[in-house]
Amino acid sequence: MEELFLTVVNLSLTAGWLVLAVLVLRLLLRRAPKWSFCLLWALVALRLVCPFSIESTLSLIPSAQPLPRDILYTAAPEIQSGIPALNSAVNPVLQEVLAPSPTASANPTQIWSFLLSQVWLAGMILLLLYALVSWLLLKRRLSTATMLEGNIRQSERVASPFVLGLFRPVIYLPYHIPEGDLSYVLAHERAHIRRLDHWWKLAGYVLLAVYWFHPLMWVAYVLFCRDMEGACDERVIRALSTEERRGYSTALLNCSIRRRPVAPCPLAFGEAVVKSRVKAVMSYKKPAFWVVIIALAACVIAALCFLTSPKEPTVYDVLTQDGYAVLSQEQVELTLTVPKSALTDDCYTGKGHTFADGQVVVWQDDSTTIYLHNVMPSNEREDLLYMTFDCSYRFSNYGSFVSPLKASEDSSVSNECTLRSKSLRDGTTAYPDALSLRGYGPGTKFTFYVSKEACMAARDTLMIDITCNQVQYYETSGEQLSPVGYYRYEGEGFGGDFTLTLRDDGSFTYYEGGLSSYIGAGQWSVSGNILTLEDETGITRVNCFRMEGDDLIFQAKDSTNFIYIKVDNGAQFRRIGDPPVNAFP
Amino acid sequence: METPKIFESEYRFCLILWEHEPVTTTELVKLCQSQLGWKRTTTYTVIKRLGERGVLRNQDGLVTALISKEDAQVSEIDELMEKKFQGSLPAFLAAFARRQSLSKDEVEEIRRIIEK
Repeated sequence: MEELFLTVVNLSLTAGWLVLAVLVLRLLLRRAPKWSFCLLWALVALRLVCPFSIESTLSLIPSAQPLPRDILYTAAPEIQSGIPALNSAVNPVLQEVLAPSPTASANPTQIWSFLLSQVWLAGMILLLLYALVSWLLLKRRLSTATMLEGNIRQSERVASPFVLGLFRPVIYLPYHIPEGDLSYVLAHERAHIRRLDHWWKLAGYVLLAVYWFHPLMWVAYVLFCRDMEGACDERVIRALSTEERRGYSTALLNCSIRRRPVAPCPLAFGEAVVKSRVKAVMSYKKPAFWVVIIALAACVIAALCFLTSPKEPTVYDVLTQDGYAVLSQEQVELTLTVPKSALTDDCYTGKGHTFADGQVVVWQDDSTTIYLHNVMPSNEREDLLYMTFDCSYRFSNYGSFVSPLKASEDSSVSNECTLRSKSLRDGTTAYPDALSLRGYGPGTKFTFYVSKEACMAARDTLMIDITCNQVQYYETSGEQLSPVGYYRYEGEGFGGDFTLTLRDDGSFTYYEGGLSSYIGAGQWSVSGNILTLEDETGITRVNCFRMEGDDLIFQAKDSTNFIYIKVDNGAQFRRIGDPPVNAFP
Repeated sequence: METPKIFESEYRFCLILWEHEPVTTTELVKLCQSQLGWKRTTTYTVIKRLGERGVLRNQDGLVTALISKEDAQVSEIDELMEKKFQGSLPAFLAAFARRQSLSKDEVEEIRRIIEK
């Protein structure tokens, strides 16, 4: 339920931006036909109904998931509103208030989300019940309505005409409608039925009942109903003469005043709706073609910008300390596999690293290793099986491994690993709620808690998927990394070694092997940790490398690749020495 | 004797009754079904309600009117009583217009807009 609530809150927050956009567009497009407004509201509804959206760079929504899914379980709850100022204002407070205390048995975030989701549910049920009960009461009161013709009925209980019913909508009228008004009233109600407004309005109400906690949704619903009436009016009067429009407006006025004049009500707020409608009817002009085009374009643009969600960043905003800059970022995904039967040893990772003696290597590459020490599976507590371990690296308040994983002695590069997501599953089922992670303070032992329920339900292995974002920093105070050197391709060359020379005057040459008749040459350039070689021999070749330690890692995605040798993405060019003195390798 | 209250829809029912009385309830159900579009239960409810008000008598399934068409007076629904109900019209109705508290001035102003 909390998960569902979280989804609903996230959807309402993203839809909120769309509502704001529609409000602005309604002001800008005042001369546009009202049906285009209805179209805009339909977009809002679509946004609220559909939990998925396509990622797009056009998206103007700051964040698709302002409240990340793991906020319920994480040690350091944080919002990702997409607005940095808001995040930095809210998150410290959130973490102050909601961070689980090591001694308490329950996480305050979970308590709060439980309470709030119950309130949400109660509100929703209340609103739906209200609608249901008032519908039943209305049906009962209208049971004696007498048939005028077809689907038109009259009742003394009706003060103002309306349509009721979904599959067989019936028009209810009061008795004694002035003869002149009747045809207009019926034209309006029939237009409602043709436009399926009775369905739209119900859908709008149901959505409102779900998203009742968001004030903008109430604004949206009220305006949507108003725009629907406006669109219906426009549809009816399109074909009417000025004289007939007078008749239509008079019918509108007659139906909206109470039979007995009422003293001005102090509680009435806003302009009388009927007045603005009459104004709109009397001043209606068929919208010019270009106005219609602009209105449609606005709908399409709104859909493109607000129905899509922003591209999930593969590069995160990383806070850097003074004197450091980000060299590279990499997503690291790893799986920790825990045999259920033997929660004592033999835990191993997806990459094949086994551990023994209570130590596990969860991730490793040339420059980085994450060890977990003292892994202690335990089932001391009633409801939780848990596994505790020390991490070699500090686990900060912000849910990240922050201190350098391995401060390289020879270079100024250091690493940080941030935990982005974690989940528990067995071979077939995922247990989204089953895993919680707690770690407190620097250098502390932190603990994966696995709910016993999940352990019982799970097959014989449990797998913990972890996504980390690994960031490499370099000291900016130090010298810029220089790729100058003599490199050799780790793979087979074209009849001999494939070598690459980068000189300190900024020039490069490469030679794909003894059989090659081509020598690539040009100027190299470095941006961040990416080295770009652009041939200046008349043949267009651009090749990119990532500088990693002493080696160059080929980036096939951004490269045209070489002529005789097709180098695979990620292939290494190892530095084998300083540039040779002679001009050609 | 004070004439009992009859509302408009009940008056439409009485028109049928006066035309056909004395008439059996089953016959009335059929007539109301075809002429007023009423459900069986609605007809029975109205017969019972009007019987309690002394408008008609239902004896062993045979219905006769107690007041004549000439004596009958159609009552208006008490607007004050209905105000609460109209105020709570379900939000999902597609309505031509909502009843509003318009002052005399406002009504005049709107009429001016129409006449312009």
